[in-house]
Amino acid sequence: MGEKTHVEEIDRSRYDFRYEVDADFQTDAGLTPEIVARISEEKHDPQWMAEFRQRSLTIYNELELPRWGPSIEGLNMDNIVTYVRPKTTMQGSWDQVPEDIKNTFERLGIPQAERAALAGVGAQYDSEVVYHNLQEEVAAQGVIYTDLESALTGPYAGMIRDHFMQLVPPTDHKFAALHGAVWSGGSFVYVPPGVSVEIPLQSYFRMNAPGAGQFEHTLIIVDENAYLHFIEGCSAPKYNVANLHAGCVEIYVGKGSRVRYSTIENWSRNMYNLNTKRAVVEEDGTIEWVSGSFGSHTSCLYPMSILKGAGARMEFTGITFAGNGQELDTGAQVVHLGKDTSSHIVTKSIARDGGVSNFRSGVTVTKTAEGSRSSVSCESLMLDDRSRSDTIPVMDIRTDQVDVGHEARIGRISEESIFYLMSRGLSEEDARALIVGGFAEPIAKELPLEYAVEMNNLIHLEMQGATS
Amino acid sequence: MNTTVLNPLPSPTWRRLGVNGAGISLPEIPKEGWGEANSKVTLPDSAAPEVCPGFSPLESAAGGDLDKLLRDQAGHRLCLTVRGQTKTPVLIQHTLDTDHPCALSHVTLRALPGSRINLVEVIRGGVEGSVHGSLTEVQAGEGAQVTLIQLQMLDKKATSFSALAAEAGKDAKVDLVRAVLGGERVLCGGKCLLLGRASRFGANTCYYGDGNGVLDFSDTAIHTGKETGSEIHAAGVLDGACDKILRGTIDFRRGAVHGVGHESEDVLLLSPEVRNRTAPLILCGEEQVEGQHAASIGRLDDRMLYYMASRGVDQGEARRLLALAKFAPVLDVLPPDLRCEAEAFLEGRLGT
Repeated sequence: MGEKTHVEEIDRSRYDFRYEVDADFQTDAGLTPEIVARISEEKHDPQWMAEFRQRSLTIYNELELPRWGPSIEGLNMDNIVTYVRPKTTMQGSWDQVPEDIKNTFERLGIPQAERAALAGVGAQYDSEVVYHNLQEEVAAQGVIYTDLESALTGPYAGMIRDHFMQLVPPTDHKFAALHGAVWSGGSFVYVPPGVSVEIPLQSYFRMNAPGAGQFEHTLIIVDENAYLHFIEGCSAPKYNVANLHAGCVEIYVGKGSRVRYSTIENWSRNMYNLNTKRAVVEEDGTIEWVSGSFGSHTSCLYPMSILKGAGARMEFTGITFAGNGQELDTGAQVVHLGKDTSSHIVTKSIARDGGVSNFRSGVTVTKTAEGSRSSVSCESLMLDDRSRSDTIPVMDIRTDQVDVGHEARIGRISEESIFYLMSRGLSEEDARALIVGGFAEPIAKELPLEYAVEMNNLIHLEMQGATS
Repeated sequence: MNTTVLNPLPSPTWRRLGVNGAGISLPEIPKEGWGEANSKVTLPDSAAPEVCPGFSPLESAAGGDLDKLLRDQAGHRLCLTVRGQTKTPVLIQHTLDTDHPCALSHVTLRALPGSRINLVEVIRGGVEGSVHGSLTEVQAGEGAQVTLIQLQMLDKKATSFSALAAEAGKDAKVDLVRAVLGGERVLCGGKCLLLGRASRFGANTCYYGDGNGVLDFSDTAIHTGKETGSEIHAAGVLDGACDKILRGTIDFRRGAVHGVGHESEDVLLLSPEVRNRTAPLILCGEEQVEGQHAASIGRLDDRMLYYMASRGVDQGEARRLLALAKFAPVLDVLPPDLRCEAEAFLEGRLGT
């Protein structure tokens, strides 16, 4: 019993398939004003956006890399192709999507999920959205769900200009500036006042080209007293060169509204996932983040919630599963601005087979946030002594009228528990899988059903490789 | 302009939170030099002063630059070797006044196997521009027990730097007990390297800050030996526009099997102008360990105030009692005369 458990590599065959890259257009590798101008030209940017991109590039060149977090030495922007356009335009029917791309999404189960449980789907392949659809009855409620490029020049152009990269300005950090310079694809959602979108919308991002970057932008505006559940999924085949994902999500939660944003991140093990997500919540609004991080070589992901209005609420529920060769640095940030705001962060992380799983959080309560409450709870599980798990929480409290609590725990699977389960007839593998499954269960139940099932399968797959 | 970062966070994070290093800089050397320290030392028989044996310098949590400054420029130096066990503490008293506005001290303490010693350092006084700085280096041999008690009761005008660098051998125990009751700018950084099997480190801090005070703490336990243990706890009261940062780090290195570390902080905020930052880190490179931290930050408990009011205790008195309660776990371990002095000093600062 005292011997170490060796955990094998996860079976990623469901995601790790690829098609020959047959791009309609792609930029040269690297990042220059000419490349950024070419992206603007190819995408027919309005003038303000073309100028915005160039300003962002200047900011990118001025900003330093962060001096904290995982190493990103293996990422060389000179080798990254920032824009790859597949040979298709955006379609409203899967039948019109080119065969290889359609097959890709079918193997990922997206059309099937759309038929079974989604009100709308957006599918992005490399740098462009290839499919977008919204159920007629949802559209009839006034809900807008479209690709961001169309929205940029259509009837919502003013709304896009007023909100685009206002929550995450290019000056926020170096990869936000990079995003501002080369963003492409992504979705725009608008939910009118009083409308509740009972069935979730889903955007799925697939990267197929080796050495490429994906920089989709998701902009969600939920007006007063409305509800939306938005699901984001992503995956890529594994290559021997670094790929980069530096997407950006901005969510505006109106007065009295509730938004649930669920993410299952399952990028391949050559991916640098440097994503930025932020929400601003008005009076009595609620943002709920549900986040599962399983893939990537290196991940830096810390959704931020700005609780602006009185009584605004935030909940973050996250799980991170880091394996061999992975360093997943995840967590959440919250800024309490309004009175009587509340935040609740619960995370679980598992590190095995030499993986590194870090939890990082920042809770800021400003002077104006009297009567606010915050609680943070993180638990980490180490499955072997080759792995690593760090917990780096910070609380910054600037008023006395608060209640802030924090707790964290790090440990291993108890030998007594394994012994007990084995005495009941379970094998050691099954006992360990059961315990890890139980550890993750409070998070799994927050995930959309198909992802919860997938996560449980994933945990079982992980543990099936275990040998004493 | 000194750009040295003091009390660096062992694993840095977002710069906007301002916890990666202290807002307090390394002290500038006065034009007339540091001058003579007004320091008194009382030694028990078991602690013999000797020429420094020169054990390899450890680094405190405050950082190598502060350690070097104190090593190089201390006006008060003491090098002790402890044999046997004694209940009589080593007592070091620094008094800062007009003639002796600064006191820099460097103490090295080698506790031989099986020895036990308490070292009590009391810092009093302070005038405009006063600086106190102390570096204590501890090497605890097998089974040795070293308790370092620091009672800081400086005037509000003074700046204080306190650094501990310790290492503990098999079954050794190093305890740091701090009562930080005064000073305008205070920086404390303690680190213990738990090398030996079943070695222990405890850091128990209480603090009070008000006005425009700046308090900056960092305590780190590095577990390398098997079955090592650390307990890092802090409690404090902040009033006025005081700005406080507390970093507590439990670092389980690979091989520290069956290590256990706990850390906690309990902060009472008495003013809407205070800024309280807490960064409790657990760094874990070993599977078979147990690490835990908890923090509670907030105002006076309304239910408690209500209960006390129902017992006839007015709000001002209730506030005073609840604030004083935060200090009790630390003040209780002080020698009786120092405890009385500390309580009187604290009551003075709490405005009672």
